[in-house]
Amino acid sequence: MVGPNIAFWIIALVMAYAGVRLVTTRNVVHAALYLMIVLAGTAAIFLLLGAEFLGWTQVLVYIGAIVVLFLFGVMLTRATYGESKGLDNDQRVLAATVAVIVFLVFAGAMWKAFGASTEIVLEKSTTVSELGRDLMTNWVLPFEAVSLVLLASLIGAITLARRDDPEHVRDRGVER
Amino acid sequence: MPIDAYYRSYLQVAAVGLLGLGLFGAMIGLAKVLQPRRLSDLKSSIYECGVEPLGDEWSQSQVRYYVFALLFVVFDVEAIFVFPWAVIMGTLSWAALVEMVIFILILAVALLYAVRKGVLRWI
Repeated sequence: MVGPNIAFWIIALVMAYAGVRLVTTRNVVHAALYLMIVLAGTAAIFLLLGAEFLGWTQVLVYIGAIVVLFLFGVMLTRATYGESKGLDNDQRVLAATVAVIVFLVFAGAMWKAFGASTEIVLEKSTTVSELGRDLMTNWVLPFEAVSLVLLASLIGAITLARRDDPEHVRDRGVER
Repeated sequence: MPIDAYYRSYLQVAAVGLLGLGLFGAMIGLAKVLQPRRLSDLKSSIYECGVEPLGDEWSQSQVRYYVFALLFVVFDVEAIFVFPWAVIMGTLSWAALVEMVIFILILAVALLYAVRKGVLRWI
């Protein structure tokens, strides 16, 4: 099919451009917004592959929540809006090494899965109801485990973000 | 859904999206072309009348906002897991309802923890 291929190349080029700008821009807020473009591209590729639910989950969770978290993180620090000089550090060689290794791992995994076949034939897209049925029948235990993972992550987040100063809390209690 | 029908349904989404972008671009572009541009310091200030803005435009925000953002992420992920269940709830047995109640109860513990730790209290 030609249409999805054209769409893939447009999305991939936009993502690559945004990814390069993400690490080269001198403005932290712009970097977060470029990250948003990359994540939206990922969602679009999920949609192209027929994974409708996954694609929209990407939009809801990553663009809707994770980018907000990044922007909050930027706002919490003393980072100044606009050009900042201190964004670069001397880890370029290490970063390039890690990038090459990650690329090799992904390329190897794909080669192992699909081999030399250049065409991946999709018969149908996965609907949400199929997913729900699977989740509720075959994957109940992992599903419940997810809630425990979320619980643990929330407790960890609160522990990290909260000012744990008993005296302070007691003072505030008296004030009330 | 067969993949052809699936792609065709998203073609409509793409068409509406492109139309929206085109409309936006046309309006902004037309305004750029048509407007006379005589800028002055007063015109380009944020408030033409009223109190003059003071200080930097960038201010550090409070750390307590961050906890709310984190809570939002956790419950966003919870909502994601409720959707596939809600779509087929009518065709499932009672066991599925129990499964979802357990799932939500465990996360209610998280909410209870947040309340007891006082992070939801706004001073």
